[in-house]
Amino acid sequence: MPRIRPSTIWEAHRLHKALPLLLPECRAIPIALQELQWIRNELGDKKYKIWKSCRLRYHRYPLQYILGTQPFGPLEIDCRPGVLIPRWETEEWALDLAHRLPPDKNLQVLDLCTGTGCIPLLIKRLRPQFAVGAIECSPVAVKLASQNAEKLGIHIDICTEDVLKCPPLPHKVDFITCNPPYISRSSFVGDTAKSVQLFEPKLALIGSLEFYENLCDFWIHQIEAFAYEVGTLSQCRYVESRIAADPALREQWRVGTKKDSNNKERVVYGYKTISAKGIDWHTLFRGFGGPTC
Amino acid sequence: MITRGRTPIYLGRGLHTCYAIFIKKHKLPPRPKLSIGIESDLEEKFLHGGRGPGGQKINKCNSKVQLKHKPSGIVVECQETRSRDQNRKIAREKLALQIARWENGWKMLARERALHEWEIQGKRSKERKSHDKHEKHREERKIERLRALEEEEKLLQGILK
Repeated sequence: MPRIRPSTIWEAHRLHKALPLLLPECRAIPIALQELQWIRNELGDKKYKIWKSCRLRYHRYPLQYILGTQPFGPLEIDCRPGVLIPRWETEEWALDLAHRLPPDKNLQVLDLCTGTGCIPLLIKRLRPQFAVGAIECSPVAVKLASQNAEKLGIHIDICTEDVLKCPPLPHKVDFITCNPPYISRSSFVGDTAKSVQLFEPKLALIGSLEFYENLCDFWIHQIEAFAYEVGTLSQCRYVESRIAADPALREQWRVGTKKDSNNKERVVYGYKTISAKGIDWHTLFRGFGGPTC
Repeated sequence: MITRGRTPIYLGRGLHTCYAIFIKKHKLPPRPKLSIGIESDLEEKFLHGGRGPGGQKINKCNSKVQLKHKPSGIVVECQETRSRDQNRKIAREKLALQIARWENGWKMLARERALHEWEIQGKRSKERKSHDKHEKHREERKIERLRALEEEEKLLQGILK
């Protein structure tokens, strides 16, 4: 990463005394000004508050934890230290997916590793007659997700379970969404942004294939379709190869990959060709993504 | 002095009476809106700062929306808020304004003209008020001086008698 030039720092200082503190994270003056504006808009014009947040930002503390919220589609999700901040990539695919789900059917949707509860809350808001549930193993996140549900006035069932321990389901589930931890240990050190490394929970970040393995071993036998967020192409390939390796699954399932608007593989999804609920998953997912390549 | 101060104001009043009376801030012509069928002509892009691994590895707060109207080639961008939804709405408002201008041959729109007129009107009324105030004060001073003169004259006549 190139260093910040002293002239840039001085220029920032001329515009606002606290602006140089935002430069290490923002890198450029226009972005830093924008951030300062957001801080001002949401925390008020109190001088000490602005300085405090700028100093936190200088130490790479995430802006969403300072402001306390992150927009997610039409929702405003509360964020707190100890819970992963919803990303724009997740927002993108979750919005696309939620708009594709049939509004007149009575689907049972379950979100695993829910964190702030952003995905299930969004689905329930856009498709109110669905029964939406969420599973999360961290008690802090469960508390925050319930708080978010209450604040937004959306009812979802949240329970504290470890997804990897294959918890028994109280009722049948048709569709599973999940944003599992997918950063490998090696790229967490080298490739991940400092603010994420330092301040976001590792429990929600570091993982390799265990959740995809768990999907193919356990969850896939109970559902009709799934959408899992991924970090790399290899995770998509893994899911595809596992399904292709099982003759029974290969007959029933189709798998695909969706890229985000930055042209990176972001979601691996799969659906049954014959649905017991009478949902045409094939047309539903048409245009959502494509075959893994 | 009086004539120089007055003539342009009266001239102005005379010329623009119809505007000066009718324009009110809450009764301007409406903001241009995008027509319903136009969505197919639009090309929407979300820019998030290009390179990098993305996903859980970075935590970006800004989301930029770029909206292009294909028939005219007009491009607008918006990254004012943190919410992509909000940015999309603002970008559409901006685009609607640009398209309306484009359809109008880049001339001023009725709303803009009205706003401009409204501003001028405000300035003019301010000018008038201050002019009237000065006029009043001048009158008062004149009367005061006349009275002083009269009193002096009376005094003089008294002394002479």
